[in-house]
Amino acid sequence: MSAAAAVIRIGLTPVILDDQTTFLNAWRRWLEGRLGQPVRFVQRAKYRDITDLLLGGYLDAAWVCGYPYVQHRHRLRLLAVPEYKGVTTYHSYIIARAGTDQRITAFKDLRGGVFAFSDPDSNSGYLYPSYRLLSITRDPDHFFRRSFFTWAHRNTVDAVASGLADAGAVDSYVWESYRHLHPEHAGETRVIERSPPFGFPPLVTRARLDASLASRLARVLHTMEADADGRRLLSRLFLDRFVEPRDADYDGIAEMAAQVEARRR
Amino acid sequence: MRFGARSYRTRIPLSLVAVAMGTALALSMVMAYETYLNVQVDNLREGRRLAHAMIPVLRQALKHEDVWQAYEILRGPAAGPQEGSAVDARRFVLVDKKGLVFASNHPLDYPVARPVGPLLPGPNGFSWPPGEQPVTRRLDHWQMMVAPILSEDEVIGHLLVLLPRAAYWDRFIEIVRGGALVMLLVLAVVLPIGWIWGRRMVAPLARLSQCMARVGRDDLREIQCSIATGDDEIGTLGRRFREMLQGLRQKEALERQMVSQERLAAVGRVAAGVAHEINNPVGGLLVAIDTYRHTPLERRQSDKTLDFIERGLRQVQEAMQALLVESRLETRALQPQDIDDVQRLIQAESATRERRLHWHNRLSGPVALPAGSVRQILLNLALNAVQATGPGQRVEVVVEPRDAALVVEVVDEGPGIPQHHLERLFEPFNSGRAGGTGLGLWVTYQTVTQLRGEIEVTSEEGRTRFLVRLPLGEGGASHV
Repeated sequence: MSAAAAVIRIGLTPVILDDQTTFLNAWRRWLEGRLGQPVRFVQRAKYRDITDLLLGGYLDAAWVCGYPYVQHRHRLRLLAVPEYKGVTTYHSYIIARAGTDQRITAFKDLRGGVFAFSDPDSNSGYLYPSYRLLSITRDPDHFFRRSFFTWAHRNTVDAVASGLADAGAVDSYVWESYRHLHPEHAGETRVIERSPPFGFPPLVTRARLDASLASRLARVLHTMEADADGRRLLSRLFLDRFVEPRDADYDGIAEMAAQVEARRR
Repeated sequence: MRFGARSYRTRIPLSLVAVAMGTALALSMVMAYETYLNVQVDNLREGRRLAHAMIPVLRQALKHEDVWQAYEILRGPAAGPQEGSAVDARRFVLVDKKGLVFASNHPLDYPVARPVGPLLPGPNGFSWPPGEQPVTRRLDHWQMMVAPILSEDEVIGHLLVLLPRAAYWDRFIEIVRGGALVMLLVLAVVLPIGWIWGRRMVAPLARLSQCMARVGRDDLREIQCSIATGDDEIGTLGRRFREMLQGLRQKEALERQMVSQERLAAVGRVAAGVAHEINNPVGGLLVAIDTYRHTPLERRQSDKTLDFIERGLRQVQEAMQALLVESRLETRALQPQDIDDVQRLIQAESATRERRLHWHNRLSGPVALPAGSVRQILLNLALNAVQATGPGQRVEVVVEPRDAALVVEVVDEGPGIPQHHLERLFEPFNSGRAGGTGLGLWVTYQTVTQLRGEIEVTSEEGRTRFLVRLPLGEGGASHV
């Protein structure tokens, strides 16, 4: 099979909110037009699945969270990073239900409650809150009465809003986009804690990917804002543009990961 | 208005309508009750089915400790476009084997990882059912189904399905409302039909009744009715009535014949007297003519003789007039002259018998009564009185208007009518007199009745009195 006709497979995780088929079709077609090759998006429920597919060679690229990237830093290469509200960073938000539950104002108030994580490989949805626990309690496994994974950031918002969980941890970008798209749900959750900034979930490829393909992909993404259609697609994602990523931006996440894993051993 | 007092034209249709409505109502109530029971059963069945569908996935969620997945399954039935509150109102609670809430579709009411017992309705003391079959319980306003979740014969949790009884009510009301609408539509069609049908059933009876009511009121010859003739009871009534009407008509015709016969018979009775009355002046007239012929020419007084003859002939004419009138049917109003005519006729009769006749005609003008009928009554009673008295006995006749009526009073000094005869006095063919028709008083009675009057008789030895009172201004029958 010649390289020109080979399908480019890009994995997607719940780091982005809009996994609607119509949007993805439009984006796919735009990429196909720019790359001159067929493109396919691949979605899976868990971050781990996408990471595995990427490392296994089935996927050529994937949009992942910073945490899986740092976990496999030596086998992955950064392609592009979104610029959101002028910066290439985002935060982890600890959210609680709005309204009557005003007694919860800080992380420590969550003792004995029910907590919703997003994905075990999510920085904002798992790593950061776990890291926070380390500084609050000596027995992080029993701090909450019950905790569980929702497998998607928007699910975490739903879980907290419905009362299934007392609080949860979400990606700030997803949380804000969700409120933008569904103003009727806007008032149901509130942020009780904001993390320091971390590197925005990047688009990565495996290190072994063909270098020309990798650079072509990168170039297409970086010039997306130059194109009218591309800008339209970016605005659907509430993003300014894609830019050249900086590896150092993910050191923060790596540091937290090291501490949390050390604690676990 | 009492129900029983209303006409059958209302009662029958009303009864039909009442029966229809009563049936509709009874049916409605029975069906409503059935519906309520069915709604309960349906709800329970659906709850069971849902539980059955959810349990395999819930089993996996329990084993994988996947709270979110369990939540997504449990809120499935209510997700999507909002239906009525009934679906939302159901509670699905997944409980782990320690009795703690694992997940539910109403997380605020059933917090995760809390014991479920205190959260359930009804008095505390909830215990897990033994065995592997689902169990249904009633708690307060809820119906609860408990289904154990098994993994390789080990109970790893339970699914609780709570159905609020209020939900039945909404659905029940919905169904009943629909049913009531249909019922009303059906009634809207059936009731008018029932009413009309009832009316039509009763119509022949009503017509027959109306016809019968006319029998006493109107002339029999003028009563024309369309009478039902069928095989049913009303048809039989109709046929009998028609036969009866025929009979009545024949009887009336016969009576009319008898009355006119009696009139002629009465004329016959006075004929002799009248003949006598005519004979007397006629004899005198012939004598006068003879005298004239035998008078020498120069002494003949033709004027005087002619006057005398004229007067005599007038007398004859008047006598004949009275008789002629009597033999004719007179429908004109009564005049005082008529009373004088009858007196003349009676006079002739009584004179031959040397009765003393005292006659008092107190009419001053015409009277609104048929002349023929009154003359016949008067003639009959007066003749009877004259014939009942002996020589030298008195007969007194008074005819006068009194209190908006014409009063005819005939009194005689005869031997009187015996008591047993008095009771049957006005019956036909009942004269105590040989040679008579026996119809005189019967006809008199019929005539008086036809004129809406009264006749009264009192009798004792030496004095018999007949009193007739005929009201004026009433439309009596214009026929005899």
